[in-house]
Amino acid sequence: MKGRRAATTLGLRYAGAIAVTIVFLFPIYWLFIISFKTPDEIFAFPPVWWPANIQFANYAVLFKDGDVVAVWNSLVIAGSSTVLAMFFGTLAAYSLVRFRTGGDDLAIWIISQRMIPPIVIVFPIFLLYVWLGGVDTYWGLVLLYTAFNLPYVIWMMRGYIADIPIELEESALVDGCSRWQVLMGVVFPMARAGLFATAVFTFVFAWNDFIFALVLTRTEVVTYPVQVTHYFGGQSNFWAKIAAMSVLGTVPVFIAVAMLQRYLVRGISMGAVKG
Amino acid sequence: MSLLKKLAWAGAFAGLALGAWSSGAAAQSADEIAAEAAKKYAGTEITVVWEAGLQSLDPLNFSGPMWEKLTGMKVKVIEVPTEEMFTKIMQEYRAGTGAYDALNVIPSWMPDLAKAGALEPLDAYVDKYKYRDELQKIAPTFRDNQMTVDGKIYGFPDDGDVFIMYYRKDVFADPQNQADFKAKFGYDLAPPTTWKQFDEIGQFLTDKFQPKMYGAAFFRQAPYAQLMFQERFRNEGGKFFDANTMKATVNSDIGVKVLTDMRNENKFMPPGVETWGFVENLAAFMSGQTAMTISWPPYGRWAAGYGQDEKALNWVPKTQIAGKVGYALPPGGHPQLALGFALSVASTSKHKDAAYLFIQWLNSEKISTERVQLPYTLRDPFRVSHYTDPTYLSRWPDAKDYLATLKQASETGLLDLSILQTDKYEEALRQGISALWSGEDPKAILDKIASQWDAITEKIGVDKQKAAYQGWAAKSGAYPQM
Repeated sequence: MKGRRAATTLGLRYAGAIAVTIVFLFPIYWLFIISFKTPDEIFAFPPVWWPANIQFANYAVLFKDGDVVAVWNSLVIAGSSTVLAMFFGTLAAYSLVRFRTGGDDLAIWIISQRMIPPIVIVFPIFLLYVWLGGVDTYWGLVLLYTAFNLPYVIWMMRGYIADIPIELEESALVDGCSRWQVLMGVVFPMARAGLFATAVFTFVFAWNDFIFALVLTRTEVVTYPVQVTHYFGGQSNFWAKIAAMSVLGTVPVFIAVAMLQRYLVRGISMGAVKG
Repeated sequence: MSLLKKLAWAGAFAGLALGAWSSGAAAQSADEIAAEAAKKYAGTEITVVWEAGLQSLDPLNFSGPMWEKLTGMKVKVIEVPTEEMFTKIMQEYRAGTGAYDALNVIPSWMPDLAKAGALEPLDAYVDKYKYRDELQKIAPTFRDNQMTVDGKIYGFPDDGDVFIMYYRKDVFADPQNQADFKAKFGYDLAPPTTWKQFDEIGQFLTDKFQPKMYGAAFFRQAPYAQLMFQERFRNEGGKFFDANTMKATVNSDIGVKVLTDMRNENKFMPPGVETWGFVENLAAFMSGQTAMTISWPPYGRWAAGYGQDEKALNWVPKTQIAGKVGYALPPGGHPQLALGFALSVASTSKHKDAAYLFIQWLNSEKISTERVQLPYTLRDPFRVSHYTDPTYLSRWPDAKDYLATLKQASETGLLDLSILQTDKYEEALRQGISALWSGEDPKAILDKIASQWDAITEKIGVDKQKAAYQGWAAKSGAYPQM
């Protein structure tokens, strides 16, 4: 009797978990499936749950028209800014933790910079960029995303580095390592999970940004979120292209998260969240 | 031959040559003048701002390459989503970048952009490049209402957007439907001329044919529905403001009636119609799911199957109702001249003459006649000659009815509200429409809109806005001419 009740409870739990999973996965399924449908199937009522013929024309046209360059632009910009923000942010975090640079107040001030709503500063930045010649350039967006993500990286890495026992670093120093060697040989390997977790979130922030990319690009370095809006006209919505481009824009993040999942889980559950 | 005789002959010859030259020059059309003058800018690249999506295929695939071939000038197209166009234009202007040369401007934005100084006044160019005669041939509604601010030309009307009604001729002509309808309502089943008739016909057809077919559907998403509200409100006799005090009067009994009717009509429309946009509504009509709808002119072309094989239109579901589509004015008879586009020159452009020549050429009689017939670019007839162009009339069997209805609609159409910071007033309307679909009380919604409008007016300055409103309200297309 008790065993049967336990089995029923377990079954209900599984059913609940499956239902929740379906609810969360359905929008992703729908996005993917629209990208393989014909126009008639996209607008059919009642909805077509599975296309009669999986067809790749919606993707082919993105490559043929060159729209897919926007995904490349996003990769270059988000990737470069992530590398730069991680490098400088980790060094700054190390300095804050080990040398107490600026005391506690500096760290608080740094993270407060991340709380500024982008919409508030986007136009002054545009004016500055016009003066600097940074509008519609790779370096302009890379610099901006690096600056914007630095506070987040510093704050996160500060927590991860603080968790590394200082005795390990002191031992390495006693053994004759330089500070740089300590960083490369002790700190970075020890904070690897935190580094990957922070890098993924930094990449995603830059990858998904819309407002800066919209204002600071024209034609040369249009990123994928801005490119998607080009498929919305007052009297035309290219749903197939919207879906296909969104899939192309989602896949790199999916891959990155899947590959680094091991570190992500570990990274999130340690360091920064401990305070 | 005496010297005198020789001089006389030479004089006569020179006179004839001059006459021939001048008559040749006079015969030169606006597109030829523009293309000829633009040759001296060969190698120059001008940047034009165009609405993203289908619209931009015009300069990308058609007019841009053609212009380059004619003049050697290059055209770089910046595609911008409609809702971002105003901001992008203003932002580049405020920063003085000179990044844009030619602009597409929605006429209701023109007062704001012109008063801010973002648009180049075009009168001097019009005279310099002899465009005034051809400019006058733009259909009066667009020419008189969508071209000038404070008497100066800031843009050339370039898109005859107007809402018209599309209905299923075969359903309306069916003898059984005719008989059943007459028996129930006592008048003939025909395209409705009042909203009461529309409601009765819509309900009748839904009752008879659902779920296979519904009596009607509209695009109900707030940005579109607020335009339909503007139209219906004025057709019923509503006024947006008290012209003396500038107090909003949108919350009058007329406004409440219109909003209430709009919500009630959803009951005989397909389920979920509240979320429909341009494309969803188009798909339903083209598939035969709805018997009546109101929209911009491309519906009429596409439903007839015009341009069906165009690659650029492969996102449009194939029409199932070609040959069965009728065209009529919407109930009330004064359709909204919703949005539209005008061509302007950016005041900060570094290539003003070159940009001007391009827009003159685009807007000219010859080139615009070709552009409004491109099946995929959404530019609609806006010149008197477009409505009677023999080629256009022969594009599909019912094209003559389509063009005649568009012409009639342009003559009786109503302008979008175009005052200072119009978008803020429209945003209040958009929010109101969303509240309507979520079930809020129409009167409460309109009271809130009126109070938001009054606050916006106060902020802009009552006298300043009053002058702008009075200028707009004096235009022939502001309110129905009874």
